[in-house]
Amino acid sequence: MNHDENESVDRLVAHHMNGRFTRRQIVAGALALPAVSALLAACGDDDGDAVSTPSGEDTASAVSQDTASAVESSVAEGGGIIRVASQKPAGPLDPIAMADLGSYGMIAQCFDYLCTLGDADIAPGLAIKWTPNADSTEWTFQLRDGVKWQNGGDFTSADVVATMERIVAVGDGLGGSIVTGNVTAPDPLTVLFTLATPNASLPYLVSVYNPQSAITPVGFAAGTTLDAQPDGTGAWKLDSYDPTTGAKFVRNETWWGGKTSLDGADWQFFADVSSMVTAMQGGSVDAIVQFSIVGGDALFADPNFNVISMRAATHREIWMNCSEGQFTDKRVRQALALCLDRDQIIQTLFQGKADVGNDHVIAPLYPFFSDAVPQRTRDTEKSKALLAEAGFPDGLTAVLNAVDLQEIPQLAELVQIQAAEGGFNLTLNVESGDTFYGTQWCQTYPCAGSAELGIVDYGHRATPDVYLLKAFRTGGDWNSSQYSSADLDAAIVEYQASAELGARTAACEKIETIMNDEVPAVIPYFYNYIGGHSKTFTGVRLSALGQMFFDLAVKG
Amino acid sequence: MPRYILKRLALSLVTLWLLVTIVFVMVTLLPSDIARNILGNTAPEASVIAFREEFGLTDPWLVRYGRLMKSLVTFDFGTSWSTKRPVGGMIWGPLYRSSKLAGLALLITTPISIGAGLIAARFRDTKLDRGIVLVGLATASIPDFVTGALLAVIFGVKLKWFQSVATIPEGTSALGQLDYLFLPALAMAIVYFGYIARMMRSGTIRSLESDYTRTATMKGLTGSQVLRRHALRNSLAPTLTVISVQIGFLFGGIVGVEVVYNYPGLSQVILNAVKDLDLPVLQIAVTIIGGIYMLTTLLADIVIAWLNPRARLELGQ
Amino acid sequence: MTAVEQGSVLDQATIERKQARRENWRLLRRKPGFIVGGVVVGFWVGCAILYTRITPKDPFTYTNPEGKVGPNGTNWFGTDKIGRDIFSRVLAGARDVLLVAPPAALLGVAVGSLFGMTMGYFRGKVDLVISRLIEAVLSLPLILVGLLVLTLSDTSELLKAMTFGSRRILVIYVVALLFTPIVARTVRAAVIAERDLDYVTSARLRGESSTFIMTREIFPNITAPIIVELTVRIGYAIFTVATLSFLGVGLPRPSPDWGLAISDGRDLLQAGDWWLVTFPALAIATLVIGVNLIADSIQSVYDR
Repeated sequence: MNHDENESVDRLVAHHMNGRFTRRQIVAGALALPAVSALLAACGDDDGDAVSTPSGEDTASAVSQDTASAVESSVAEGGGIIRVASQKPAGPLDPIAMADLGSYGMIAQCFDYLCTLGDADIAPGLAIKWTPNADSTEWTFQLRDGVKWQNGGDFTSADVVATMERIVAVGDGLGGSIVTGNVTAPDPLTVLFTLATPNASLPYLVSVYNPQSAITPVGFAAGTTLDAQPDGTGAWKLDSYDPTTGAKFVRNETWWGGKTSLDGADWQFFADVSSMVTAMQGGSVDAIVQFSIVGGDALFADPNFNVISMRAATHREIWMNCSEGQFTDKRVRQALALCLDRDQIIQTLFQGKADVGNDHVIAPLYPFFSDAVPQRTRDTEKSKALLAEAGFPDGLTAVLNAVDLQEIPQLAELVQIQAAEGGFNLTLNVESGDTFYGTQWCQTYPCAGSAELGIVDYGHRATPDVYLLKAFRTGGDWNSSQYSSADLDAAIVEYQASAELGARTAACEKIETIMNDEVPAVIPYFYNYIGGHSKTFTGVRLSALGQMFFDLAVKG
Repeated sequence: MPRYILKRLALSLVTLWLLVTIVFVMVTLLPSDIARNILGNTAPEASVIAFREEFGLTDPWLVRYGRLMKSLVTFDFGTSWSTKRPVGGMIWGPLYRSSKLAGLALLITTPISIGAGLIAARFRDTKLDRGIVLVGLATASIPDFVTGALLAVIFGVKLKWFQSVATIPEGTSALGQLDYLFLPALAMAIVYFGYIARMMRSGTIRSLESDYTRTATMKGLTGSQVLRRHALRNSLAPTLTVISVQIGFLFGGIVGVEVVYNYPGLSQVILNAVKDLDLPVLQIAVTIIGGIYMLTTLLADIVIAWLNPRARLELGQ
Repeated sequence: MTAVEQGSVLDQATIERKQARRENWRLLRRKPGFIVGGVVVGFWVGCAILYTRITPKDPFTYTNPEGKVGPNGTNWFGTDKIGRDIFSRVLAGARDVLLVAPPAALLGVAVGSLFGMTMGYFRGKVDLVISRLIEAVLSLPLILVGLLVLTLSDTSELLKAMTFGSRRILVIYVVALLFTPIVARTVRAAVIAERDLDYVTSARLRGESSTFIMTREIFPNITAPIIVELTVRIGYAIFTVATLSFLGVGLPRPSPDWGLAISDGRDLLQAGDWWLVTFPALAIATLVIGVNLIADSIQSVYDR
């Protein structure tokens, strides 16, 4: 992890402070970039995903290439307001308890993170520098000087310590990395993280990619919401918030990053993605935080719309209960995995804009992904043979449970059709999320009482830690596979402790091999995150977690 | 008459109590983990436990029911579980918006459907009559979200005559708002056109065939005169009942149209409250819908009484 | 009156009834509305019976691995999101639709009419109590009822027994439950308009029982609104099933039900892919119109 290599971002900040380009220069600068792939995507290029393939760097972020153009266009002139279509926050705007992209987007406007969204990697946010000790058990974060809270006070290390204590008390302690007292403040501008187990990905856990790690003031008691106490350090101040209609943000004049070009952002909440697309086409909004490929065709074809498409680790897990029911034999699980025609599924559901999954959670976009494990392909004869070996010579009958969300119902239908040819007689039970998670997925936590077969959704993460720890480690909170393997648990520890890319890739290869062989869950794909904006605006940046950034955006 | 109205209003309170209790029982019966449901499946267990504590979700049901009743009686509606904001603030805006949309939809659909029903009855068994009935049936059998989406694509996106979504910017003039509200209102109007027109048609035909209109015709009145003086009055009763029942639905049951046009009305509030099992919000929203039902049916009964002397006599007793 | 005479009178009555029936049938067959309606409904009933035997493609598997595609030579109505042939699915869907919508409408109208007649005839306390209950149920949000019933069906033994474990029967109950109060109110209003008319009063003076008056005297006079309710409700039943699917609590996948197809394709309609929704919607419209044409013709013949 190149924790000290922050030149590009420092350059960005320098631009911010001093840069005053004319509009013509901005355009020239943007076009001169080697990969203005967002433009290509908009032009209908088949593989025009604006992919931020980490070029030699060991990054794990899904960042839009748009960032690059943003760097060139940081001009604090122009003004204007951008109208943004976003999904409705699902719950209170509580930075620690929130769990949906709608809320992430809101929080990221007002609150900053120690590490922010960078050009294909994380970049300095409230911290300007971070260094680990030799075995990654101690991390020192140097904080930015002169940062003010929107209500006036100075931002200090005490705020960071207080935030982390809250994250330990009511959150998941950065995925279990820290416990009470682990974070200390040697001086007002230094924070020290002392970890029980080595963790080389800590900076990602305190970055925008772990949205719940937003830094809030000392007095921001657990359970406080952004709208109840709008006091961040971020580029925007919350002006008004209505959970049913939208939120208005105005420029934070005292922001450490300088004066933003736009005067504000007007977020409108939508219950439905296709309505966002119609709104965009009808000119009611300027940007869409996220939309789907199927149904968004009109925007892909629109010459005035800039599609931001990025690879992400967003995936679906077709879990099989490994401790009870008909799927306890790994040959049965392998048989189901062999039934799927993954390329065809990706073609149908995402028009090809997804990475093929190989039944493990190390997404191909992670720099430490190992391609040593052969890709599983369709083989229905082998599937039938395995089923017969496992004691199901006449095939296996089961209920495939699935949550009614985005493309999942269609995925369930495809799995049913394809599995039928491999000897599985599946009945579909697609339920709304209101009942699905509590009855089919996990009835209690750590996960217990799961159905024997089901499909559940996982959002993008900058690193696979959460997937591994929560969904597949023994006794994990969301381990609906009820999977327990000492080998995998050991491999996960090894992965977390490895600081070097080579070691990390080696650890991941072990994880991939175990998961691919034992198949606690079929993971058919990792699909691209798609958002976009009108070409009237430049410099709009987007993370794959619904956080759209307008600090560098310019209307023109 | 005033005594009758007072009695009806008192009875409405009983109905509202019944309604609130039914909703409470329903939500309590659902085997769903409310805190987990609201915070999301990926929320840490600690915050789920904290959430349950905060809203007293672990209290016995009698305590929760008592708390609910108290909040309704004292008009202190409390805090929404899903947004942690005051319930009142989450309801009034959508209620106001729903009234606007429902009002516009009624304004479009009532005169057109009643007129169409009358015409169909007057020209019974002609091509005109058949056309009206068939169009009414066809439109009534297609869901509102399909009609809505079709109108949005054709008149919003393709022709650009109206706005394709109904998110009205602040400070839009009343006339300007029409630009945003017309398509969703039309979608709702289309769905109810068939039902109201058919009721009106069959009511009118029945009264045209009844003895008193036959007498009137024998007295030498023309068809239109009979229609105006006698039939209209008597055929309005079932039609008014139908319309009054639909008004509540226009407020709380048109999720499809509201979702398609992204119109933040009461239906979406109810939908979200049901999905989150956000009882404080759900209670108030459902109570409001119930109140609207009761008021509109009362109003309809009064108008029917005014139209029909026999029923009036009964109300007076 | 001798026994022989009595017998011949009875025979006479039977013959007359038979003649009337034959006459009605003759008149019906002459009505163009009846013929058209019969052909349309007959077509859909045929599709429902023959099911996958007459579909050109398997409605349950994809024919086009690319997913959705517009109408063309192979897929006359195009394909749906996962590439299944829409023409075949619309034909096969008739079975699901006909097994759900008409029974649901019938059940709702029957129960609703029963309530409505009881309330309208007796008035007073009976009316008062049932009215409150009906008003309360009317105000319940569709989604809450749907969600609750479908969720409870997994856990409640009583519901499982009542539905024989079938999701389809459960959906019928939900739709009927939603229709009952609306129908009851309409019928109640119609009964109130009748109950004080002379024929009812004289029946009461004759000492007829309430059941007799309700079923033999009032009911024949309020069949018009009830038939309107029934025909309109069949359409609304398909509509409601579609809305239940839209809300995620409808018929189970991969059912080719028209309502499910419509709610599935709705987002693509907004994106401009019209065929996913249009064909199932047209199917619904033709079925509803067909049912209605038949009902209308029957009504006009019997009103003669």
